[in-house]
Amino acid sequence: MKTHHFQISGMDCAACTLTLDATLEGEEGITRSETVYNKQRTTVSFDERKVSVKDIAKVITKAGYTVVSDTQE
Amino acid sequence: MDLPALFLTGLLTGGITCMAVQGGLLTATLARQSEEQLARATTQSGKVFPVLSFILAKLLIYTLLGLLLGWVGSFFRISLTLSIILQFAVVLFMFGTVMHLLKVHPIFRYFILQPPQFVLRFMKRYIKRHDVFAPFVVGLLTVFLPCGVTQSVMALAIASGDPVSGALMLFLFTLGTSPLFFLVGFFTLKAGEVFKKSFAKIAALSILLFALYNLNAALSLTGMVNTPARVLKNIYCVFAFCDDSIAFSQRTKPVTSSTIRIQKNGYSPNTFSVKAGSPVTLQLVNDGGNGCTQSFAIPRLGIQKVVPLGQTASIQFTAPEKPQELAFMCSMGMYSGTIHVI
Repeated sequence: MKTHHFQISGMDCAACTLTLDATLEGEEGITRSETVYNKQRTTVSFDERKVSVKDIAKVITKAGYTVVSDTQE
Repeated sequence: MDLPALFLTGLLTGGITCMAVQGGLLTATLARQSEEQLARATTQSGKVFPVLSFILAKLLIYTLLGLLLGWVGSFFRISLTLSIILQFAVVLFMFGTVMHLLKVHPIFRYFILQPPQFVLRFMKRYIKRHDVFAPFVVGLLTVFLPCGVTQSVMALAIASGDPVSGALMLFLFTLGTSPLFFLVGFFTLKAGEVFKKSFAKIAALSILLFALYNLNAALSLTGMVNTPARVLKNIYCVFAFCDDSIAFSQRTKPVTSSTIRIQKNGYSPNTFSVKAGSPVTLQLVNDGGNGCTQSFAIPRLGIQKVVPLGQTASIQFTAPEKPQELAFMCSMGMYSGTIHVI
């Protein structure tokens, strides 16, 4: 199990954190997503055998946000 | 504020922009419901109840919120200074929201109301529940997540200074947003940032119009006669015949007493003349005003009088020695008139 932080941009509301988390947690291999609006950051815990960092970034982009950077915990 | 205009604002811009904020919550909640429904092999008609319960919850909670905000605003009516402060705060808040929507600078995101983290955590937990009441509860909780246009209407509700007006404003606006929420929920349309990006500018424009309307009211409250709206009206009257133009009112004879009827949407007459330095008596008859018009003010003379519906009151003052125009208005600056001192 890995945890990764994604710095994102384009998030305009606190409700967006809920929908992004719901979208990410709906993906196979992602166990937990915690988005903090004020920090514009999403922390994702995932099973690296089922999903990659690149896949997660794609989901975030598809949801309408830009991944600025990502770091491993 | 024109109530049908608020419904149209909700219908034309509110629904679309709020969809990005709240639509995702609806679809996420419905997704959990659908899993249950699929297990029971129900049809799409099964979605009507959860979608309607989400919308009804929103209508209910925002109407109550409007009632509360209008009530809070009513306390600002007690003094003219507080009313002015409130109006300028509302304008500032709206301009900040516009700047945020137009992405002028990241700092403007602090103008968007954010719920406490524990509320967000609670919502997140609730969205995941398969509970039949989940859409209703999530609908109620959207009160913590107002979108930009909604929070501007919330500001208007405070500025109305009247619980009933505040409740009506938010009810009609939320009702306007409902058809789109129903469509998105019923057909499980993909709602998200696409909506928001496309319509952010339209939403910003509608809030800007609200902001300008309130700025005019705020300036009017300071006693300014030639407010931007008045200047525009005068320019318009140069080209078109206006019954209540200044030229017309200046021809009227000065009076020492006048009866002003307080109505729902203003004062009648809203323009008359008095002689400079003369004592003036105004009889205020409230036979139709139950909103901010009940609170009559002449800011430049420091006069403010509350006349509840069905009552009358009298005001005496001495007109200024120098010819000028005195603005009178409701204590929220929304409805006004002019006394010409000649």
